[in-house]
Amino acid sequence: MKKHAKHIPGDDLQTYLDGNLDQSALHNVERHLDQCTACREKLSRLESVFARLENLPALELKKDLSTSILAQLRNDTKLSLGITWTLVLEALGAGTVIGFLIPAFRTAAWLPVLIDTQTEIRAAINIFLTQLASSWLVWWAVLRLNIEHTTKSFFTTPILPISNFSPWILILAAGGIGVLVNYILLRSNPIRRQN
Amino acid sequence: MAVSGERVLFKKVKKGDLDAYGVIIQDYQSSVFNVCCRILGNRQEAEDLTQEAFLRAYHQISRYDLSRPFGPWMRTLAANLCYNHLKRVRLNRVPLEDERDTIKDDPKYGPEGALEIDQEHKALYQAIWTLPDTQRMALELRHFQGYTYQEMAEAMNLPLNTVRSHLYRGRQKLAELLEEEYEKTR
Repeated sequence: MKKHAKHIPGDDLQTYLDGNLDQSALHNVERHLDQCTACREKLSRLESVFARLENLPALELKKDLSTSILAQLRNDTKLSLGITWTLVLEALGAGTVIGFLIPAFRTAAWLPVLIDTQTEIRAAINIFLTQLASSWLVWWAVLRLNIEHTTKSFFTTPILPISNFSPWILILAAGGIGVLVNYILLRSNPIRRQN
Repeated sequence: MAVSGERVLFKKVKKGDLDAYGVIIQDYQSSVFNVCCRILGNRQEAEDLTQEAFLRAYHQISRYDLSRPFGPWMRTLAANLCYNHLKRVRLNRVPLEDERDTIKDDPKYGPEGALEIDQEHKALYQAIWTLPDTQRMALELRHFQGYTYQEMAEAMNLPLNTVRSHLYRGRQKLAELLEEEYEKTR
């Protein structure tokens, strides 16, 4: 046997078995293997690992998983739809509370006064709605001031003249963004029972 | 490419037909389970992750290209799921107690050698499960899914040389473990 001072590195032997050596390296490795028993033995051990992995028999799946997977998928579909509608209704509910109920409660304080004065029902409704509108505008003006104040305390220059927008547009935009985000989240990452 | 019968099934699945998906699951669950089992080394976890893989596959079915075979796409999804699971949750995994009886009969081997062959394969499974996660994943992708080095690097989200190093170390370690096992049984 002709002795070779420098054996083939293990990495090169694996690259050789993977068929990823370039032409000149391949030639060198093959020439060395022809002459070096130790490297041939090393190669043979690796080849045995490759062969054993290739012939590894499959493990048996002892039960059919399709029934439980399908049951879960059917449940997910119902759950996703339910959650989507719940979120939409919640957004609408929140909008209603913000946009109507808070000023309405404030205005309701006027009702006993209106009833006491024996005003006609139609007139009472008109007064109530006027009061509601003015109460709502006052409430919005206070909110605007608060928003401006908060914005200025965080940013030296206002990044968005938020108070110039109609409150209804802002509420609708917030609701719309909420619904859109929910839709995207539910579509790409459906909520389901964790295993 | 998905065969014509399967193609019809996948078109139905893409339209939301769960019964069609049931047929697909039955066809592929065994191979997906084996991917999970090789990576996780635990039957219960492998069954759970197989289910999870099929659930995800259903929700991502729009991304599956019908002109390509479903098996590799599905097994890659499962392999990545298991790999990420291992990275996320470090469990004290209990290796399978005795898989000898569950190893499918292989017609290549005669009945007289069956027991010995089963022990040999059991040793190989045990050796694979002894490897670190990254090395086991590299072996799975290269030897069982037929990935190139580049594809492995992309799947594992690691530099190519790092992945190659994991693969080489895994094989080397496997050779040593099997050598030790062989010495013990002599």
